[in-house]
Amino acid sequence: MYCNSMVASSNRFRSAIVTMAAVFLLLSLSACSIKLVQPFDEKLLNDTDAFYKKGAVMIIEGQNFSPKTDQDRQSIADAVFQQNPAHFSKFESKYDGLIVDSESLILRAMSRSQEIGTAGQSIQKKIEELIGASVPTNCPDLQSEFGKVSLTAQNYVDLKCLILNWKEQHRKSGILKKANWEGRKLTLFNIVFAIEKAESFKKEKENNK
Amino acid sequence: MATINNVNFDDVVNEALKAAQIVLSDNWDEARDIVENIAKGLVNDVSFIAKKKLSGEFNEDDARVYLEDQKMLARVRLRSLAIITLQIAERVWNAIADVFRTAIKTALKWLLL
Repeated sequence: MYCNSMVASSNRFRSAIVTMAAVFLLLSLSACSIKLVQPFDEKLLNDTDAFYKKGAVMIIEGQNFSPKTDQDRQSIADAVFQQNPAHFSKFESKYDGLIVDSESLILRAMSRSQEIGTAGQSIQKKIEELIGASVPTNCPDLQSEFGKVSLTAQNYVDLKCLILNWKEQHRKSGILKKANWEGRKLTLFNIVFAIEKAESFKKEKENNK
Repeated sequence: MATINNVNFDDVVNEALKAAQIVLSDNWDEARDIVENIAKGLVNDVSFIAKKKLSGEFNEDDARVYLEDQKMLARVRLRSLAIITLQIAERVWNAIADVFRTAIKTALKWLLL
């Protein structure tokens, strides 16, 4: 009877320890809310939209003025090549405007990235390393300049990279073809769509909280 | 599992799982959309280049430059998928944390959190 009593006490003690351990674990796990991504930023979304509109207008202009084929381009006389409305010189300031706008987007995104928690920052850093290893950037110098930034900010760094490369391509060729501009239109639309999809996703549920 | 101050933690776990399920089902369509977008985008890229090559509007250099642009697009799409997935994970975690926070407060009668 004594042994049964001892066993019963021991079992109750063990149960109490297990209970306390479970409660401690629950406390640790549910200690606080976490922030894995930076919060929804309406201004950033609106500015992204404005960026798209400016870029799209430049592309439409380029498409309208540009020759269709390599032969059409070659037939433009040297004497008037640089005066042609599709020439790079007519677009240089537009590219520069978009570059400045992309930098403004990067700054805005970076300013809100402080709100990501430690775990979120760590996870995002790993994800960016994986993406970088799978699909290396076309702008390694730009990548080094900004270093480790949030996924949101990194998207805008890649947007700047795109515009820089477009500017360089246009500068080298002098005059692009309609199809080049058409390809750019598709790319710009798809990039901005992907960015806005991710950023606006944060908004829907914040409103439902 | 334990019952502490009439709070049955088996029930709490079930409630937390339900909260997580709701978050996942509410959010999954968005994640699926961007995955579909990535897949369709890859097909569209090839069609675009083929069409432009056939019409004589694209030479090899044009195709190369276009594909370089698509690399940047791929990076952005992958990141956007990651952002959406992390956001879902954050919502699931916080939904579970909310359930446990309330239960623990009731069970221990402490305002810990």
